[in-house]
Amino acid sequence: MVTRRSLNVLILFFVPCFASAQPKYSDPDSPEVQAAARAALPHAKIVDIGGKVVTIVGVTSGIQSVLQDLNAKVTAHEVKIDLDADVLFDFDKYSLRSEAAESLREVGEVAKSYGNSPVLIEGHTDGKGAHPYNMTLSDKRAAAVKSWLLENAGVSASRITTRGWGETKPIAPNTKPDGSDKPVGRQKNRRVEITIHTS
Amino acid sequence: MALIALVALPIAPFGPIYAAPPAAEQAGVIQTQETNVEGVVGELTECRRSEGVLTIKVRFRNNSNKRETLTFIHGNSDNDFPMYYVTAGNKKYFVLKDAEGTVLSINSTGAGSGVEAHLDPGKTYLWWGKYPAPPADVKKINFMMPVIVPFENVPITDK
Repeated sequence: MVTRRSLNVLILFFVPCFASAQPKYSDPDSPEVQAAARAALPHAKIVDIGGKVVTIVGVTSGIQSVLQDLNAKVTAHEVKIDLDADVLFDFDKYSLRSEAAESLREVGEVAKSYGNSPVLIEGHTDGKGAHPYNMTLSDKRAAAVKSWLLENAGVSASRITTRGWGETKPIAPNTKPDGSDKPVGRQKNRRVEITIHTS
Repeated sequence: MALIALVALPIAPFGPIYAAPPAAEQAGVIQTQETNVEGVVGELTECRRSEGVLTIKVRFRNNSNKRETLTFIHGNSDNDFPMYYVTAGNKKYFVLKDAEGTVLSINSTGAGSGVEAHLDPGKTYLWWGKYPAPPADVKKINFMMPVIVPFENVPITDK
């Protein structure tokens, strides 16, 4: 039973403990925040976008705009595209959602623009669930993406290899340092990576 | 119950930020845009220029009948905040940072901790940011942020 006195003691204990967890700035209307903003002005980042408009116009035609849409990483040897598995698939499923079509259509355009270059499709899950289950799920998801590209984008089957890695290759922590769940990290880990080897 | 509430509230900035109660006294809405989360809209309620600083506030409102989540920072504000910017004329203005590199906006409390807003039905969450103000002859701006359709031709209030 928590008495009023013990409750007060707990309040006095917890408030200082968590006070330091507040964000540095929390009230946009406070004089402190406004003063900090004024002090930051000499170092403000302002860029001229006049010159960039020409560049953007240039890349909106052709495959460059598609690469940009997909946030693809293009190097001398490969094109790498990461797709959010939550966009492609429903939770715990490996059948593609209708919303996946737009991204996959763009992936297909990119793949076809690179002739006969091999395409590697790799599925990844987050850290939840049993390892065998995650391996199977990621494998089937990679295969589903392959099937879509074959059937809807006309990418040749002989070019495509699939692989499921389950939860074994995370790109973000699945848990916080205290061991509790970190949904943001797990979301990043649920993904399908598509690599086109261009040389 | 009182003890639970007291302990839970200060923890929120480490990760999720829980929605504030609906603000009956909220300021007038300048412009409303849709988000990618069905039923959640963003209302731009302030675009104020003062002492060379432009303050922008967007109140996200969950009009759906289920709990929804918006992620504003995925873990590293340096990566995410360049996507929250103002344009006016041929200039692009980025959120201000203090001498320690902390953004003058909603921010997380520690390295790697993101910022999410969990919105119960009918609840709201206020996003804000401080930007270098465009010159006085600029009367309207555009404001871009990842989770919502751009706010365009937003009038600036000088105070």
